[in-house]
Amino acid sequence: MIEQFYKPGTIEEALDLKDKFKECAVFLAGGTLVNSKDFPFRYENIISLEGLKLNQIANTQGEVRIGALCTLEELSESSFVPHCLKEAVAQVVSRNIRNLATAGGHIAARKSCSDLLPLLIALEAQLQIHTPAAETMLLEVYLQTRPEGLITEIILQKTHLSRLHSAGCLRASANSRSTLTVAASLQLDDGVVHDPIIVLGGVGRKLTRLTIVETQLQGKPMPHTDKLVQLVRENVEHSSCRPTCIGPCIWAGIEEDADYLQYQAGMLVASTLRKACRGKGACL
Amino acid sequence: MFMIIKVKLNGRLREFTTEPAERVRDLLRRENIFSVRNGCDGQGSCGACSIILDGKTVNSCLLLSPQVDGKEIYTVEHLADNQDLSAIQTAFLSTGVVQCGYCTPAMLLATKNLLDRHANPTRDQIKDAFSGIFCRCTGYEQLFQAVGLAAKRQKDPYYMQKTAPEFRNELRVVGKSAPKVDGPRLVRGEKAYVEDMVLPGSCHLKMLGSPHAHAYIKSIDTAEAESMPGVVMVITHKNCPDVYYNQAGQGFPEPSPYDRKMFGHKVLHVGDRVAAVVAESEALSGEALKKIKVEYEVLKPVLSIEEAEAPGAPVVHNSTLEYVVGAPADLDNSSADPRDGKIIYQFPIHADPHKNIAAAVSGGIGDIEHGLAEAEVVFEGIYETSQVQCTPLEPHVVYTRMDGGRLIIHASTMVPWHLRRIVSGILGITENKVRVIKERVGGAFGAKQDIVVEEVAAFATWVTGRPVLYRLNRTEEFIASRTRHPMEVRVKLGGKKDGTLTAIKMDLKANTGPYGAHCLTVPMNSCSKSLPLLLCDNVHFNVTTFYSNIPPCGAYQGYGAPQGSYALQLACAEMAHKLGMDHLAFLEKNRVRDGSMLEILRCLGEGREGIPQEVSSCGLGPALAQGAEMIAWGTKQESNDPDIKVGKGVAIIQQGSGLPGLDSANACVTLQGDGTLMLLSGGTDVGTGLDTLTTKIVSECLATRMSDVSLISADTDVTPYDDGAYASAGTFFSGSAALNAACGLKEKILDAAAKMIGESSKDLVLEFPSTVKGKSKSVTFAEIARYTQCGTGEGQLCSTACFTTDKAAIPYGAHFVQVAVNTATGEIKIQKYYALQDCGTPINPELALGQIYGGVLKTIGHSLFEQMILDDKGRCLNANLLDYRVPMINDLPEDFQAILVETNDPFGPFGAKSVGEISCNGAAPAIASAIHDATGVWIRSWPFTPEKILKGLGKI
Repeated sequence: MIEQFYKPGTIEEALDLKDKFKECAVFLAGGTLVNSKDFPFRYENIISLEGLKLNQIANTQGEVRIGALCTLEELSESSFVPHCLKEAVAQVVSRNIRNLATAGGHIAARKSCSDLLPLLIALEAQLQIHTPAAETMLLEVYLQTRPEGLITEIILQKTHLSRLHSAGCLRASANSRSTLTVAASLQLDDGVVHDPIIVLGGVGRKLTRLTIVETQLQGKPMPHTDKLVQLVRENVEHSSCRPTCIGPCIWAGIEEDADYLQYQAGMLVASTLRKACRGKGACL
Repeated sequence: MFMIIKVKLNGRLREFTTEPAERVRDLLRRENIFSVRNGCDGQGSCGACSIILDGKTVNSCLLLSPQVDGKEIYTVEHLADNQDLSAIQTAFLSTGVVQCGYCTPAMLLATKNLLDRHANPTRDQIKDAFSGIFCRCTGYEQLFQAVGLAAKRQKDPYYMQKTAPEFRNELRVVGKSAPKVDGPRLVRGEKAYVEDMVLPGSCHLKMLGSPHAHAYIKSIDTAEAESMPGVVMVITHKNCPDVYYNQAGQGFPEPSPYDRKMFGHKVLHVGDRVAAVVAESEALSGEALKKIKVEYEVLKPVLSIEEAEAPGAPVVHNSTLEYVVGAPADLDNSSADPRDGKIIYQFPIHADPHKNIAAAVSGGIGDIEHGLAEAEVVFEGIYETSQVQCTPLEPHVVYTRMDGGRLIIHASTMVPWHLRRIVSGILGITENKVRVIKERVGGAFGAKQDIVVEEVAAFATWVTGRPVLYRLNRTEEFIASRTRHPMEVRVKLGGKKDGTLTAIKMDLKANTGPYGAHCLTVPMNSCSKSLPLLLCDNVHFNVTTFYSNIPPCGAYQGYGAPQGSYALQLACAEMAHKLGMDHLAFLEKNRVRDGSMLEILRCLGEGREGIPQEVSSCGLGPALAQGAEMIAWGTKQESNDPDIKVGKGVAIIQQGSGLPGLDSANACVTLQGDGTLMLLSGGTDVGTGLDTLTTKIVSECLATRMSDVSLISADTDVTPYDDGAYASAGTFFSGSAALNAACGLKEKILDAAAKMIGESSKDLVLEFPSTVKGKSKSVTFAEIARYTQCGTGEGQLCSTACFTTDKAAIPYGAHFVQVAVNTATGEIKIQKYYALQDCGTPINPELALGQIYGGVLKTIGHSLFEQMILDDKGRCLNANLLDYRVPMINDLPEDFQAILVETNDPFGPFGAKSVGEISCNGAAPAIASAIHDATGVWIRSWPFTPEKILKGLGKI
């Protein structure tokens, strides 16, 4: 049962409150997860981040810096936000949810079937985290290490944005949770793939970087779709393609069988890579 | 911790005392902002609680009240300027996009916000605006028109446009668009639903549901819960009425078995009633539930038809069987377990509960074996359907209270009189001690034909004298209300090489779940609303319904017809394919026509002999012709993407218009002192527009302005009897009762006028508005009222009438679909959906269109992605709107058109027939046949998931 609602005015105050109440407190951004009936945890203390004014989007020469409290709808409306990220945001179909949910909250939720995280990883996004000292780390590292602290910004390097990107998802109906999510990033030089990044969500408890597939694509022409599908299927563990509970009460694929999910993972990766290849540095 | 927040609410700065945990939705409702509704219990998946917060639409259920401190909130209450509705509100009413109205405030706010951002929004922008708001009634399609009209009216308040086709030029209001009579109340967000009627100090009832699908209650200890301060009553099988009944709201004597008490010694599904707590607050009743200690003897559950009929299967009802009439000579109760209680049959339905058979029936015409023998081609297929939830946005809810020693039930029901009969029977009191007031219903769809919550709250109020609110949460609505029966239908067709059908055989098995509500009639309806579409001399059907431990099944819009139609219509598609014949040509060759004699209906009565019917009107011919032209039937569409295959499909459909010989309806029209009219209709409007329909009929018949007809409906104290809003009876039965009453009053008015002006009543005619015209002079209704109501008059003119009939007014339709199937991923996109329906004279054309769009989209849902998923213990894994996957606006077909095909039925009021349920019968077979046309794969079970497509294609 919630007993206290705090609205700190500075990041330090917010971190002090979290330090004081520890597991009895939770940061509150938009509230679409923490305030949802699906959220399995109950906290006595709510630390609202609204007063921190972390909702700016800045476009500098080398970076796009997105405040952690920017709502998803603000991302979709900003002229600074890359197109491919807007496409991923659009996969959160409900406008009412996009108007409340924040970029930082979405990242902190760490859902395996997240619509944004695969692309942000593929974009090699960095996070500014206050722990309380300011620290910058790759999103991918953040998701693996679960550090203490507060996400204040998402940083996109424009050098990465110049690559080819695409994201996709598999879902049963327009507003259902994504069963699978995929993002891909690569460079294409005379038809030869360089430095591909492929991220798959939904087939396990955590987002999966398909590193073996990346290695096999490196320095070669993009294979035919059938070959790509085969490659992914061989490298997505059958055992991970099962009904799974990912994060707080978020599950996906409860009725689909593993063969199906493995197949669709292959198809989705293939179509996402193909789409990326058809782009022209789509994110810039 | 209490805190004070400041909010600018609808333009006024307000201060509210709140607690940090209080949701903004709850805060607003506490402050009498009734327009914020609750459909998902705070999941954020329905959007019914939408508000505009600092210029953005958000779900107020996802906000803690301190989050809005210092902010600006708008709700729908701010839209109207006193009595004047805003342009957006009038546009919604003009386009018929308001049905049950429960989601309407959210839709209105989304429109307001959209038009503030885009003066002339595109279709995609409109979809985005409504992308988070769930509507089960309307099918969303008319929202595009509503927004367009609102945009124009914001610029020009007097802008008018035709929003629906018009019918019957000779009539004034029938067949013409007119705002829904209950519409203004709903678009204002006024108090309208059961939850809005709750008085301060009322008690809250909460139910302890069984965690097991099949178990005996070995012991139950409620002492600690009962000792808690504020707990008023705990009800279990030990202290509930010792009365067996059935929850189905059907005409008495019901075919459904009396196979339950309010609480049983045995629980039969996950979520089945174990104990109810009545306490002085919602939180307290929830806390008290946790103090109840229950010990179970867990039994193996039966979850499928296959498990139910297996030799040695666990017996769901090992009960003692009793018959009111017609007990079988070999009735044997020796193996019954007393803990299973009794089953009482009003008459035999060929049940054998000790073999898990809830009901059985078979019948036919001609000689099926002869028909098969003379066939040159025989096709046989088995079709399966999954369990589907009705998902009314407003869950089951009831509010009960005492008034002068009588029990008052504020109900969200389709069957006020059946509800009163069933409750009074359980309580052992006479019906005159019970009043049922049907409030506005926030979606019913069949689920509210059953008495799912009312009798428990009524019992609690009757015993304690306390007012009680009982509202299911969304999880309970999924697992403990009503769902569409899973079925397995084997169809065998015999035919000549020219396509002439010589034999049709349907063997249908249904899973009714734990209780037998509708266990005979829903599966029978699968046959009676599909077999008569085809003209064939040799037809036979077998129906067997099984008990099991899945969540309860019951009525759901279509009432079995969607399952039967899917099986038989798809079998026809397969037969045509086997014959090498065009599917449409096959249907055209074998379909029913005007004047066809439907002998098969004789053996498809509901537990008694049915009435054969001659088809009095049939719009199938023009529907098929127009639909074929619209979709360019016979031409193949190609995609630029080699993985995408495009195909077309068709299905013909029918329903009924009530039950001839079983249903009845009554109405009363009274002339008021100033010449206006008061209509008392027993008809139960569940959002479909029945109140508007009956008002129009009276207005038309009596040449009176619609605004001069006021209506009270579905209140057992005030209005005359009506069976209720089921079996598609509303238009035909309740509408005809209103027409008969109006005609009766017309005669009295003419007689009175004849005396006043000294002419024969035969020479008098009604003239609009509200005038009787004679050869020599005219008199107004006001003058007639004063004449009859004065001290020398004959009294207030009043006409009460009943409508019963042995005739059927059968609606027909043809649905055409074009799908694009991605053969690499199995994904299906519906590119075109054309629903052409003959509902006779559409009395409310724009509302009829909304009924069609809504019915079709519901069933596109179960065709493509909706289904309840149970684990091996009978627990529903997706008992919420998000994971169950209800269709939202972005699931709409790309080109979605409902077309009203006019006929003039000789028996329907002003030629009208039903429209709502039939709309559910075409999607599954039409989509499935289109998938085959695209891919060559027959999908014989719904939903047609990508996984099934890929398996059919041999990809996985």
